[in-house]
Amino acid sequence: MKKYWISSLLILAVSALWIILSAPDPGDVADWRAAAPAVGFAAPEFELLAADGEPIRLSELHGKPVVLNFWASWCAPCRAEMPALQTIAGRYEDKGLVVVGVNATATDSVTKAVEFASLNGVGFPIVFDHNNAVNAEYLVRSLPTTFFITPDGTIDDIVIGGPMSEALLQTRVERLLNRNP
Amino acid sequence: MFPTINIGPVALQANGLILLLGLWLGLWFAERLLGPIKGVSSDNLYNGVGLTLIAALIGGRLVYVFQHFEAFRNDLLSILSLNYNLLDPWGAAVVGILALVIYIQRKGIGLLLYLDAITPLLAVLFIAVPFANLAVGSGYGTPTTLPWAINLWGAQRHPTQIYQMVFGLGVVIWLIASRRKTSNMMPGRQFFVFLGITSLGMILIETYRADQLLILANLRSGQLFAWLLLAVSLLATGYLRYSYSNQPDNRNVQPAKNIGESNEIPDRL
Repeated sequence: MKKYWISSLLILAVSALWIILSAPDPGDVADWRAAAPAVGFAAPEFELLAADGEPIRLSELHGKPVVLNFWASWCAPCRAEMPALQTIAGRYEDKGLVVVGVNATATDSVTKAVEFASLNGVGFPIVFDHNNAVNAEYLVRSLPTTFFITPDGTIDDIVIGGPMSEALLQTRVERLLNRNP
Repeated sequence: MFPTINIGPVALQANGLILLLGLWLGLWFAERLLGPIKGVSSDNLYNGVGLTLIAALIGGRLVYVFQHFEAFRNDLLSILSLNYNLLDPWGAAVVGILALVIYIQRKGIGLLLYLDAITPLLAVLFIAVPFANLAVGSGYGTPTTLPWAINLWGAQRHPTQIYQMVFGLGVVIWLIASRRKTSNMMPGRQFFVFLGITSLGMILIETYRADQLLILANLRSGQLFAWLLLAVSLLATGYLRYSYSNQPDNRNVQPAKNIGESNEIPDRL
């Protein structure tokens, strides 16, 4: 038994040493996470036009928590979660939250998207991804897909599928706001 | 990467499917290796795991709702939502384990025996989890120029998910090979040895992961957790060896074949 305990202590000591010696440099960690559509990474930059023709750039939203919702008017769960998105956008507007709807226009139409937004009282900006380039950049493979982006531009969470409930949106947004610098 | 599997208009989340498949295969594997473990039946295995999962889902949801009650107050029906993002993982783990312990006690099954019985299931899940991570790009590695690097998130990276899968496969092979010896092992030993081996493996593999939470002096939280599990496994294995060797009928006696029967005095060989 004595040999067993000595061996065990040796194993623990060597593994502890390995953990300490293999600890990364904080500077390296930042380099490991350049722009990519994944949690912990910087959200990829984009510029798209809204219905009023004004461009919206993600970089201009830096300093604010952002909810980026990829949707289409033919997508039933997308339509179902729009009221919750609108409620949350209104509730947290004064705290700086920005909700942006990115319409997958390559498989939808501007007319139908605008009509849907208008009928449902959607007040947050809707931008149109005419060639689905931003959808591809964000690796959106199913709709809806929602990215929760912190004020410093890091993706905090990704929710694939829907419809998202108001409760889920609220908990995710409050987490974003708690990360507000 | 393949985060979703599109079947017509339906998009299924690949990681969930992989985990379900892992659970199914793991239970099948555990049942196949159940033979030498006396006192745990196939029904115990399936019912115990099933109960644990249901309790974990309910517990995880209740804890999440409790933590964020303000969000649910105006939308009480969403407490019943099928969205898995509304789960607290620690709450799920605690409630699930508690339910399992209660089940085992009520069935009169020794905890150590049951842990040995589910070890093959855990070994398969040890492979399924990194596979699910690979599907969605989680658990990604640090950048590297090694020839077997994979392109993920804009860089060539260590395929840490694959490292873990290969390691897990080795553990499964070890389990199959040690099956014949299980009947000679003291209850709990196989589980704690499995825990120790996988913890050592994780300490090594986590070295190459880039998505770790760093704590204390920039130490990887995953490695620290694995180190704690390693300490537990070494302590437990040592205790089992000590208590077994100090049983009056076991001194200077070879391990009996049917040691799995917790109250049986081992035969002399």
